[in-house]
Amino acid sequence: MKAEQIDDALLWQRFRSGDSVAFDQLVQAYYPILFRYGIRFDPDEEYIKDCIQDVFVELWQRRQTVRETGFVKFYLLKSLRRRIFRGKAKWGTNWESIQENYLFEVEFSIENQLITQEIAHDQVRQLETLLNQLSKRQKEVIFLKFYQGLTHEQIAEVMVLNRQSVYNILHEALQKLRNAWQGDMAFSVALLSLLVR
Amino acid sequence: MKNYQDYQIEDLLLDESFNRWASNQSLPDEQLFWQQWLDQYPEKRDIAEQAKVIIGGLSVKPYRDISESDVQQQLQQIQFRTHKQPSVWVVANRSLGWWTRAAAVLVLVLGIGWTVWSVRQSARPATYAELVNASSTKLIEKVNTTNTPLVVGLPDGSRVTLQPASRISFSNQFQGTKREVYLTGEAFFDVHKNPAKPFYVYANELVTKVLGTSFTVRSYESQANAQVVVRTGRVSVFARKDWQRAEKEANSDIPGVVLTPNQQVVFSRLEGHFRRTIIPNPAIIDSRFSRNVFVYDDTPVAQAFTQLEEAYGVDIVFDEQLLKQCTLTAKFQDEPLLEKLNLICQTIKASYQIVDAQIVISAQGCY
Repeated sequence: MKAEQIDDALLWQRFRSGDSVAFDQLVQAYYPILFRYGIRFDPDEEYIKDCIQDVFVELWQRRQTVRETGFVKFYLLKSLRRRIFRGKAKWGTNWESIQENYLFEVEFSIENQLITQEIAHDQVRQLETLLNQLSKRQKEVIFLKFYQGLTHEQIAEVMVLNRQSVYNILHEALQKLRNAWQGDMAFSVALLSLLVR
Repeated sequence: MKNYQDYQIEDLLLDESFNRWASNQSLPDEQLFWQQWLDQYPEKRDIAEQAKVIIGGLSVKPYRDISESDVQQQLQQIQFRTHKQPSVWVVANRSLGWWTRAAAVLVLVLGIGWTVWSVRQSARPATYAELVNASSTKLIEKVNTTNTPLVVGLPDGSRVTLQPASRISFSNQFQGTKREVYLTGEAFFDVHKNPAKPFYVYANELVTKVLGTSFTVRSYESQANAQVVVRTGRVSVFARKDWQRAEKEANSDIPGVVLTPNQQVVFSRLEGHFRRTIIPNPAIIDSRFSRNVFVYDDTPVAQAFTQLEEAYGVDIVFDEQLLKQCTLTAKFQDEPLLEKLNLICQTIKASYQIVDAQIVISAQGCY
């Protein structure tokens, strides 16, 4: 467990025992993270703020029964996503259709300092393009896995999917990357293998 | 046993153990495992390298963020909805005589219920932050983060007593033809009289214009209903959208509500309409009436009603012709206005209703 997660776990424990100062600290620490996640589903800032408020208010009300967690962020992301979708369902949009066709605004990039000699600059740019052409759902899984650091199990819980579906979505997405990437990479891969040998 | 020999880049990316290794968070035996794996399958080095680039380098371009002050404001709202309840109502200072150059108004914006989630986009409330951002002049903001009221001086010499967890914004000089302040939370206003420059309080969807001179404002934000209560003085209250439309069209006929003492208006943010009524327990606003003047000895009931109207500043609607014969013998003391009315109505076999801040008497007459 990372240091920040240990701090979080302690904060969570204090909050569960009814410590309102700990609760306020949780709100302050996680509000921006939740906003930056939620706003990707709906550009309406006021709606997202309302949802985040509700998540925290409900959390406070359920503090006696809320479970122990070592990963507060995961718990809150999950609650917020559910709250955003539930709100839309109440507005008359069909739940299945919300689950299937939702907005998830994200643009990935690959940081330059990590580009090593072995991997050419254009390939990385091409990879970025490919990442950004993935489906909303594939992007969200990648966002949660590689950016928020959630495990497959947690992603499944957040997105209300089973673990296998998460795996399949990821696998499909990453396979797409490989298929498109490898064509152009044939040369460099050959070159690399020569060098490695 | 996984077949690591056939691993493609997507398998590596999906492998949680590889992910830990690539981001230098692996457990000791995992570290050893992946080292050995690379030694064993050197042809996998390039995909391992690519996978590492993705795992370590993948970042998300900043999309939309929230300001620190917005977070603080949200925190306050969450606190009010959880462990920090708004304090009880403050009763306005009624000693009008002391402020002879002024009228006093108590405006209460008090929320009931928490149905913010259901506020649809079309009916989305204007917030303090939005109003402040939209202001064309540079504003000064005062925030009371303490637990005690904070006195704030306005540029025109007016004074505002800001309650905890409240904010007020105003320009450093009230230039132009209006004095405008933006409020969220609770505040007591003591405003200098200046008929040339009316005083406006913008509190979310409500615009309160002071026709008189000295008044008290108190408001909470982010609740389904807003309430404006007037104790003394005269104020006009408008829905912000009507106000804006009227300003655009240079139209002086704005659908709003004029409140006189002992009246209140409840504004439904969801439906955007006002409901004006009399406050639950009206106070005597005219100091000429002390409690022992409500003594009736075979007094015409119309006279008693007129006296109550003056004392409490309310409208009592009755059919003078019908009540001509009705007289009253009674002595009232501390009874609230509505109880006095009840007693009178019982005596003359009448009843009353409060309709749009008027007290309407239904009677059959006396013979």
